[in-house]
Amino acid sequence: MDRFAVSAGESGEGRFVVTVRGELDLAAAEHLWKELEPLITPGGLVVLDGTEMTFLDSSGLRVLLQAAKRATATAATFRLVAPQPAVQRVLELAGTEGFLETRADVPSALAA
Amino acid sequence: MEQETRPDSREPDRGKAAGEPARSVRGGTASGLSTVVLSIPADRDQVVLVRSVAAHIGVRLGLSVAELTDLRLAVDEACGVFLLSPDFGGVGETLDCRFEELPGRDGEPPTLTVTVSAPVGPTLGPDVDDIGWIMLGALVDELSWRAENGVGTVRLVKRLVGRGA
Repeated sequence: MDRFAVSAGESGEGRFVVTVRGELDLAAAEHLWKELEPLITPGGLVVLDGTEMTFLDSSGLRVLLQAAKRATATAATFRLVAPQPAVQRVLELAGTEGFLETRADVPSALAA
Repeated sequence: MEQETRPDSREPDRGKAAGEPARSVRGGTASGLSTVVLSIPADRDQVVLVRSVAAHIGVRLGLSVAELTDLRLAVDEACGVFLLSPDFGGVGETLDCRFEELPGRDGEPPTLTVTVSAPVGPTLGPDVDDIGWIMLGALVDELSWRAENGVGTVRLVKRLVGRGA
Protein backbone atom coordinates (compact mmCIF):
# COMPACT_ATOMS: atom_id res chain seq x y z
CA MET A 1 0.00 0.00 0.00
CA ASP A 2 1.49 3.31 -1.10
CA ARG A 3 1.14 6.24 1.24
CA PHE A 4 1.57 8.61 -1.63
CA ALA A 5 1.18 8.25 -5.38
CA VAL A 6 1.48 10.67 -8.27
CA SER A 7 0.48 10.05 -11.85
CA ALA A 8 0.08 12.42 -14.75
CA GLY A 9 -2.05 12.32 -17.85
CA GLU A 10 -2.17 14.63 -20.81
CA SER A 11 -5.52 16.12 -21.64
CA GLY A 12 -4.74 18.00 -24.82
CA GLU A 13 -1.60 19.81 -25.81
CA GLY A 14 0.15 21.36 -22.84
CA ARG A 15 -2.79 20.39 -20.60
CA PHE A 16 -2.04 17.94 -17.81
CA VAL A 17 -3.95 16.41 -14.97
CA VAL A 18 -1.64 15.34 -12.19
CA THR A 19 -3.37 12.96 -9.80
CA VAL A 20 -2.16 12.89 -6.24
CA ARG A 21 -3.35 10.17 -3.87
CA GLY A 22 -2.60 9.87 -0.20
CA GLU A 23 -0.47 12.04 2.05
CA LEU A 24 1.45 14.96 0.59
CA ASP A 25 3.87 15.49 3.47
CA LEU A 26 7.53 16.38 3.98
CA ALA A 27 8.50 12.91 2.72
CA ALA A 28 6.53 13.17 -0.51
CA ALA A 29 6.79 16.86 -1.36
CA GLU A 30 10.08 16.76 -3.23
CA HIS A 31 8.94 13.81 -5.34
CA LEU A 32 5.78 15.68 -6.33
CA TRP A 33 7.72 18.75 -7.37
CA LYS A 34 10.00 16.64 -9.58
CA GLU A 35 6.93 15.24 -11.35
CA LEU A 36 5.06 18.53 -11.47
CA GLU A 37 7.70 21.03 -12.49
CA PRO A 38 8.35 19.81 -16.05
CA LEU A 39 4.64 19.87 -16.84
CA ILE A 40 4.23 23.59 -16.18
CA THR A 41 4.86 24.96 -19.65
CA PRO A 42 4.22 28.41 -21.16
CA GLY A 43 0.57 28.88 -21.97
CA GLY A 44 -0.26 25.44 -20.64
CA LEU A 45 -2.61 24.19 -17.96
CA VAL A 46 -1.83 21.86 -15.09
CA VAL A 47 -4.61 20.59 -12.87
CA LEU A 48 -3.61 18.88 -9.66
CA ASP A 49 -6.34 16.38 -8.90
CA GLY A 50 -6.18 15.97 -5.14
CA THR A 51 -9.61 14.36 -4.83
CA GLU A 52 -7.89 11.50 -3.04
CA MET A 53 -5.27 13.57 -1.30
CA THR A 54 -5.85 12.92 2.38
CA PHE A 55 -3.15 15.00 4.04
CA LEU A 56 -1.18 18.16 3.32
CA ASP A 57 1.46 19.78 5.48
CA SER A 58 3.56 22.91 5.05
CA SER A 59 6.06 21.05 2.85
CA GLY A 60 3.34 19.91 0.51
CA LEU A 61 1.80 23.35 0.57
CA ARG A 62 5.12 24.87 -0.40
CA VAL A 63 5.19 22.72 -3.53
CA LEU A 64 1.67 23.78 -4.45
CA LEU A 65 2.58 27.43 -4.00
CA GLN A 66 5.79 26.91 -5.97
CA ALA A 67 3.75 25.43 -8.80
CA ALA A 68 1.38 28.39 -8.76
CA LYS A 69 4.28 30.82 -8.79
CA ARG A 70 6.01 28.98 -11.63
CA ALA A 71 2.79 28.97 -13.61
CA THR A 72 2.39 32.71 -13.20
CA ALA A 73 5.99 33.25 -14.28
CA THR A 74 5.52 31.20 -17.43
CA ALA A 75 2.04 32.42 -18.36
CA ALA A 76 0.65 29.00 -17.54
CA THR A 77 -2.27 28.03 -15.34
CA PHE A 78 -2.11 25.84 -12.26
CA ARG A 79 -5.34 24.76 -10.61
CA LEU A 80 -5.89 22.68 -7.52
CA VAL A 81 -8.79 20.32 -6.82
CA ALA A 82 -8.51 19.26 -3.19
CA PRO A 83 -11.83 18.80 -1.47
CA GLN A 84 -10.82 16.72 1.56
CA PRO A 85 -11.33 18.47 4.91
CA ALA A 86 -7.78 17.93 6.17
CA VAL A 87 -6.43 19.67 3.08
CA GLN A 88 -9.04 22.42 3.09
CA ARG A 89 -8.05 23.10 6.69
CA VAL A 90 -4.44 23.74 5.71
CA LEU A 91 -5.37 26.01 2.80
CA GLU A 92 -7.63 27.95 5.14
CA LEU A 93 -5.04 28.22 7.91
CA ALA A 94 -2.33 29.30 5.52
CA GLY A 95 -4.58 31.81 3.80
CA THR A 96 -3.82 30.68 0.28
CA GLU A 97 -6.82 32.31 -1.36
CA GLY A 98 -5.41 34.64 -3.97
CA PHE A 99 -2.23 32.60 -4.28
CA LEU A 100 -3.70 29.26 -5.31
CA GLU A 101 -6.44 28.75 -7.86
CA THR A 102 -8.80 26.07 -6.67
CA ARG A 103 -11.79 24.39 -8.26
CA ALA A 104 -14.41 22.02 -6.89
CA ASP A 105 -13.69 19.25 -9.37
CA VAL A 106 -11.48 18.29 -12.29
CA PRO A 107 -13.95 19.11 -15.10
CA SER A 108 -14.31 22.65 -13.73
CA ALA A 109 -10.56 22.91 -13.41
CA LEU A 110 -10.09 21.88 -17.03
CA ALA A 111 -12.71 24.30 -18.30
CA ALA A 112 -11.46 27.57 -19.76
CA MET B 1 6.56 -1.90 17.93
CA GLU B 2 6.27 -3.00 21.60
CA GLN B 3 3.90 -1.69 24.16
CA GLU B 4 4.35 -2.20 27.88
CA THR B 5 2.47 -0.72 30.80
CA ARG B 6 4.58 0.64 33.59
CA PRO B 7 3.49 2.36 36.77
CA ASP B 8 5.62 5.41 35.96
CA SER B 9 6.77 7.16 32.82
CA ARG B 10 10.39 7.09 31.74
CA GLU B 11 12.62 9.28 29.61
CA PRO B 12 13.29 7.69 26.20
CA ASP B 13 16.65 5.91 25.74
CA ARG B 14 19.19 8.16 24.09
CA GLY B 15 22.01 5.66 24.14
CA LYS B 16 21.38 4.15 20.71
CA ALA B 17 24.28 3.39 18.37
CA ALA B 18 24.36 5.25 15.06
CA GLY B 19 22.51 3.40 12.33
CA GLU B 20 20.60 1.22 14.78
CA PRO B 21 16.91 1.37 13.94
CA ALA B 22 15.26 3.10 16.86
CA ARG B 23 11.60 2.37 16.44
CA SER B 24 9.96 1.77 19.76
CA VAL B 25 6.77 2.72 21.46
CA ARG B 26 6.40 2.49 25.19
CA GLY B 27 3.38 3.34 27.24
CA GLY B 28 2.92 4.02 30.89
CA THR B 29 0.20 5.02 33.24
CA ALA B 30 0.51 7.28 36.22
CA SER B 31 -2.43 8.41 38.33
CA GLY B 32 -4.86 7.05 35.72
CA LEU B 33 -3.46 9.26 32.95
CA SER B 34 -1.11 7.96 30.28
CA THR B 35 2.17 8.59 28.60
CA VAL B 36 3.23 7.17 25.27
CA VAL B 37 6.80 7.56 24.08
CA LEU B 38 7.81 7.02 20.48
CA SER B 39 11.31 7.25 19.05
CA ILE B 40 11.75 7.34 15.31
CA PRO B 41 14.85 7.62 13.17
CA ALA B 42 15.22 11.27 12.15
CA ASP B 43 13.97 10.60 8.66
CA ARG B 44 11.07 12.24 6.82
CA ASP B 45 9.67 8.87 5.80
CA GLN B 46 9.12 7.99 9.45
CA VAL B 47 7.00 10.99 10.39
CA VAL B 48 3.91 9.08 9.28
CA LEU B 49 4.38 6.88 12.35
CA VAL B 50 4.13 9.89 14.64
CA ARG B 51 1.00 11.10 12.88
CA SER B 52 -0.50 7.64 13.24
CA VAL B 53 0.23 7.40 16.96
CA ALA B 54 -1.13 10.91 17.49
CA ALA B 55 -4.32 10.01 15.66
CA HIS B 56 -4.92 6.89 17.72
CA ILE B 57 -4.22 8.69 20.98
CA GLY B 58 -6.58 11.44 19.90
CA VAL B 59 -9.33 8.95 19.18
CA ARG B 60 -8.86 7.41 22.62
CA LEU B 61 -9.11 10.88 24.19
CA GLY B 62 -12.35 11.50 22.36
CA LEU B 63 -11.13 14.31 20.13
CA SER B 64 -13.49 15.45 17.38
CA VAL B 65 -12.66 14.80 13.74
CA ALA B 66 -11.52 18.39 13.37
CA GLU B 67 -9.33 18.15 16.48
CA LEU B 68 -7.80 14.90 15.21
CA THR B 69 -7.01 16.54 11.90
CA ASP B 70 -5.32 19.42 13.69
CA LEU B 71 -3.37 17.15 16.03
CA ARG B 72 -2.01 15.01 13.20
CA LEU B 73 -0.87 18.09 11.36
CA ALA B 74 0.58 19.66 14.49
CA VAL B 75 2.82 16.70 15.34
CA ASP B 76 3.88 16.51 11.70
CA GLU B 77 4.90 20.17 11.71
CA ALA B 78 6.67 19.72 15.03
CA CYS B 79 8.80 16.97 13.50
CA GLY B 80 9.36 19.23 10.52
CA VAL B 81 10.98 21.87 12.74
CA PHE B 82 13.91 19.47 12.99
CA LEU B 83 13.79 17.51 9.76
CA LEU B 84 13.38 20.49 7.46
CA SER B 85 16.15 22.50 9.04
CA PRO B 86 19.42 22.63 7.06
CA ASP B 87 21.13 22.83 10.45
CA PHE B 88 19.84 19.48 11.60
CA GLY B 89 22.37 16.64 11.80
CA GLY B 90 20.01 13.82 10.93
CA VAL B 91 22.02 10.69 10.33
CA GLY B 92 21.90 8.34 13.28
CA GLU B 93 19.72 10.69 15.25
CA THR B 94 16.28 10.03 16.58
CA LEU B 95 13.28 12.20 17.16
CA ASP B 96 11.80 11.45 20.57
CA CYS B 97 8.10 12.07 20.75
CA ARG B 98 6.23 12.03 23.98
CA PHE B 99 2.46 12.11 24.30
CA GLU B 100 1.39 12.88 27.83
CA GLU B 101 -2.06 13.25 29.30
CA LEU B 102 -1.71 15.66 32.15
CA PRO B 103 -4.27 16.80 34.70
CA GLY B 104 -5.24 20.44 34.56
CA ARG B 105 -3.96 22.85 37.19
CA ASP B 106 -6.46 24.62 39.49
CA GLY B 107 -9.67 23.75 37.75
CA GLU B 108 -8.17 23.88 34.28
CA PRO B 109 -9.10 21.02 31.94
CA PRO B 110 -6.67 18.14 31.43
CA THR B 111 -4.29 18.46 28.53
CA LEU B 112 -2.56 16.36 25.95
CA THR B 113 1.02 17.55 25.94
CA VAL B 114 3.18 16.45 23.05
CA THR B 115 6.91 17.04 22.94
CA VAL B 116 9.25 16.32 20.05
CA SER B 117 12.92 16.40 20.98
CA ALA B 118 16.22 15.82 19.24
CA PRO B 119 19.87 16.76 19.63
CA VAL B 120 20.46 20.16 18.06
CA GLY B 121 23.36 22.49 17.45
CA PRO B 122 23.23 26.10 18.64
CA THR B 123 21.83 27.43 15.36
CA LEU B 124 18.77 25.22 15.07
CA GLY B 125 15.44 26.63 16.03
CA PRO B 126 12.04 27.35 14.55
CA ASP B 127 11.74 30.13 12.00
CA VAL B 128 8.88 32.14 13.43
CA ASP B 129 8.05 33.51 9.97
CA ASP B 130 7.83 30.04 8.49
CA ILE B 131 4.36 29.01 7.42
CA GLY B 132 4.77 25.67 9.19
CA TRP B 133 5.48 27.31 12.55
CA ILE B 134 2.71 29.86 12.08
CA MET B 135 0.19 27.13 11.28
CA LEU B 136 1.43 25.12 14.23
CA GLY B 137 0.61 28.01 16.56
CA ALA B 138 -2.94 28.05 15.26
CA LEU B 139 -3.41 24.30 15.69
CA VAL B 140 -2.67 23.99 19.40
CA ASP B 141 -3.41 25.88 22.60
CA GLU B 142 0.21 26.35 23.58
CA LEU B 143 3.35 26.13 21.51
CA SER B 144 6.92 26.57 22.68
CA TRP B 145 10.51 25.85 21.72
CA ARG B 146 13.31 25.19 24.14
CA ALA B 147 16.94 24.31 23.51
CA GLU B 148 18.85 23.12 26.54
CA ASN B 149 22.05 21.11 26.87
CA GLY B 150 22.17 20.38 23.17
CA VAL B 151 18.60 19.11 22.98
CA GLY B 152 15.84 21.04 21.25
CA THR B 153 12.22 20.46 22.17
CA VAL B 154 9.02 21.55 20.50
CA ARG B 155 6.20 21.41 23.01
CA LEU B 156 2.53 21.38 22.04
CA VAL B 157 -0.36 21.55 24.47
CA LYS B 158 -3.93 20.69 23.56
CA ARG B 159 -6.56 21.38 26.17
CA LEU B 160 -9.02 18.53 26.52
CA VAL B 161 -12.09 20.61 27.13
CA GLY B 162 -15.24 18.96 28.41
CA ARG B 163 -13.59 15.70 29.37
CA GLY B 164 -13.28 14.22 32.84
CA ALA B 165 -9.78 13.96 34.32
